[in-house]
Amino acid sequence: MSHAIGIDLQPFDEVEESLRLFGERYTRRLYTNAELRDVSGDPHLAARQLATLFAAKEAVMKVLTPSSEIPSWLDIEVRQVKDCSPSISLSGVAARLAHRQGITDIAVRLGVDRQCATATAFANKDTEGSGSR
Amino acid sequence: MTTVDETIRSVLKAHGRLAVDPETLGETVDLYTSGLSSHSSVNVMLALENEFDLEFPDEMLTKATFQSISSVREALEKMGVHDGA
Repeated sequence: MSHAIGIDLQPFDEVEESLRLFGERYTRRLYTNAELRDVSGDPHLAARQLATLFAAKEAVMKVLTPSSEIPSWLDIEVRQVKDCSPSISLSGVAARLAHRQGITDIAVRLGVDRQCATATAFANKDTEGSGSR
Repeated sequence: MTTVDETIRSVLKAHGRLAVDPETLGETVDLYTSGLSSHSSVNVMLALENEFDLEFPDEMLTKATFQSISSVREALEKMGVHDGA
């Protein structure tokens, strides 16, 4: 058994700028429809929520440590973010990478302050039972 | 006429949030070690799509594509973007 940790920090103002400059093209490339359904219609609050989602996705991405095969941002879905312990659903390349490394569950903790969102992701790797054998 | 290389550097300057001036970067210098974050690389991609009126296919949305100015240029060339085209 080994472990993997991923940490990320995402400033709110960067997401706010992305929304202002690229709008729906930005959200469509990074967030699933289910994730977007939970996001506020208020642009300021939406930027905070999307920054939190992105930090979680990037932290999970670091846990998965992709090399040749890179997951899409849409392969990592983050839901139920209100309690700071969101549920993570993997699909596509992300799910394959997790399977190969014997990762069955990824725990994520979120934090926010006035300027940015933080996310820490943790996973156990069951190397004995992984799909890489 | 603006070259592809100049446009890439201009987009990096506007959206890459690099720790160094993109104008001074060698074309094979690692952009991530120069301060490019994953989130900023998405903005760079979207801005390049605006500049060249194209859409990066999903298989090109990898860290390797935005590793350096030359790797970005190679990705654009695969999509038919060339100097003078």
